[in-house]
Amino acid sequence: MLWYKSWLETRLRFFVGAGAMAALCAFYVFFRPIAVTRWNEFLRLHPDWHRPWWINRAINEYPFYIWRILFDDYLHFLWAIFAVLIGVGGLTQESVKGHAQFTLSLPQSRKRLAWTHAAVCCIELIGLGLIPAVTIPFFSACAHETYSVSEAACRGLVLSAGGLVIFSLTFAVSSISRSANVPIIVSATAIVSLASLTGPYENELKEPAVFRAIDLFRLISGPPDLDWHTFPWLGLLVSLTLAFLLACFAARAIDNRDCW
Amino acid sequence: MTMTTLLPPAIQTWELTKRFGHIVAVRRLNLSVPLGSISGFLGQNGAGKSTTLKMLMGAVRPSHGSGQIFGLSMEDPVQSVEIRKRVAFVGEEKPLYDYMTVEQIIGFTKSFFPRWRSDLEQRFLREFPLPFDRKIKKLSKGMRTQLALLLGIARGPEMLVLDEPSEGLDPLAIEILLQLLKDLAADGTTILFSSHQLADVEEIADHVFIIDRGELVVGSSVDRLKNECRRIEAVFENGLQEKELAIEGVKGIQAEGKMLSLFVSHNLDRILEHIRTLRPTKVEVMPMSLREIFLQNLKVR
Repeated sequence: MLWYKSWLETRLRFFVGAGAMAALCAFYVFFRPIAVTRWNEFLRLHPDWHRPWWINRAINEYPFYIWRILFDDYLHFLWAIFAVLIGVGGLTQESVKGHAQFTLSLPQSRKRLAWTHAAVCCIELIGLGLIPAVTIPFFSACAHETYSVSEAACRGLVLSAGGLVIFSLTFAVSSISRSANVPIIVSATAIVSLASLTGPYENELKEPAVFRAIDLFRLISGPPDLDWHTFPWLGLLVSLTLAFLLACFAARAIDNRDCW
Repeated sequence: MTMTTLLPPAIQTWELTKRFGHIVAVRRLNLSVPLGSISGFLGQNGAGKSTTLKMLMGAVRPSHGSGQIFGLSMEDPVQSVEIRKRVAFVGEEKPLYDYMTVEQIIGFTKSFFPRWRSDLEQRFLREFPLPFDRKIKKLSKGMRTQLALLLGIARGPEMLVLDEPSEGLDPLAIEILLQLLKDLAADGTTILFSSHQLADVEEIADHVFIIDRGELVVGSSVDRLKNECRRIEAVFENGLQEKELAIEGVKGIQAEGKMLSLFVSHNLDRILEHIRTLRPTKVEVMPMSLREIFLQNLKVR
């Protein structure tokens, strides 16, 4: 029943996130003809423009367009926002609302409370990551295009598995701060800093090795052509390990805190 | 010697201390709550009652000292879970999940307690009809208190720890609650409750603990306390220096003209003997109510 409690606590954020992800997917699927027309027009008017490496493929290949505009851009930012919002919670935040006393009167260890909450949030975030697996193929069919469900699902998994570290960071800060704003500020600062460092290379195919190693957004975007060989195994392993360590820190912090 | 004194205490603490920075909320508290008793836990606001109860329930970590409930260590995380299987705690602010309905939180809580007492749940709901489909955030203060008490009592605990259980209840509801607590105690449930309602404590408690500025000042059975604590009124025609009465057991002296009122906590016979040697014109020994005992104990410190 702890699962049920955590679900009730976070479901509103999950449903809003799911709605926003679905709306974003729908918008950019149906927007493609307009985008392609505008890009072609722009290229015709500015033949000397230094073209980003991806633009020709985005104009000609529908799956590539979906990757570049959604998975490599808007979706991962939207998903990251909801990873932060869903990450704010747990026993320390409950103590601010005054619920912690009731929770702690239940015959459950604090570690179990923390891990159950984290697990429910992770499942919700994986669920959010898989929203495109349903919506993109569906809206694509409505727009007379085709997009593979399996590719959308794989990309959704890369997005959510790679990005869980954002959730864990927020959850860890939530477990040590009694303010609900501090975890949001800390995580937002981390995301913006990371995006600022790696952003200048967004339109470049090659990124310096030092930035590539910390480019979380490139990791969760996945490669343009995703297959068994290009799947970012190592990056995901590192990111998931970091997420796990941050969750361990959160569980330990919750275990040692006074909860009013 | 009664049976309860032969049994190990339900709650035992040793030098239990809690500091918040430089503030000492609870200081070297040695508490021994007898098994099967109804114990009142009294003190002013900020005396350390709630902090003590939260330490017992594992919500707040002691800075020093230790404690046991049913022989289980409250600091050990595994044993603390075992304690919470056997002890129900209802906190002061009656904190419940605002986003659940009454029905949802009853179902949720029930799932953790295999010994859930549906009979008590039904009895409670007969006495305090609660709107099942209403969200907790929309309940009145009294209804929240009733729901919090239901969720504690129906767990079928061996011990109930209640922090200000009657707060927000109307006088009729308080009477029903007190009767319910008496019935539970008669069935063997140990009850420890904090309250500012001294008349309620006097009505149902058989033991009382008074805490002041984090320190235990009284810990005794109510009967013993009332037997030992007396007010002596003595009239001395020639007047008397208070220091002449400063002997063991005299906790406070109040002078009003020729009459001296002595608050005696123990050693009554020797004090009376001593007073008689001082040749008073009148001596009267009077019983004290729990309210008077409480107020005197705080006043003399």
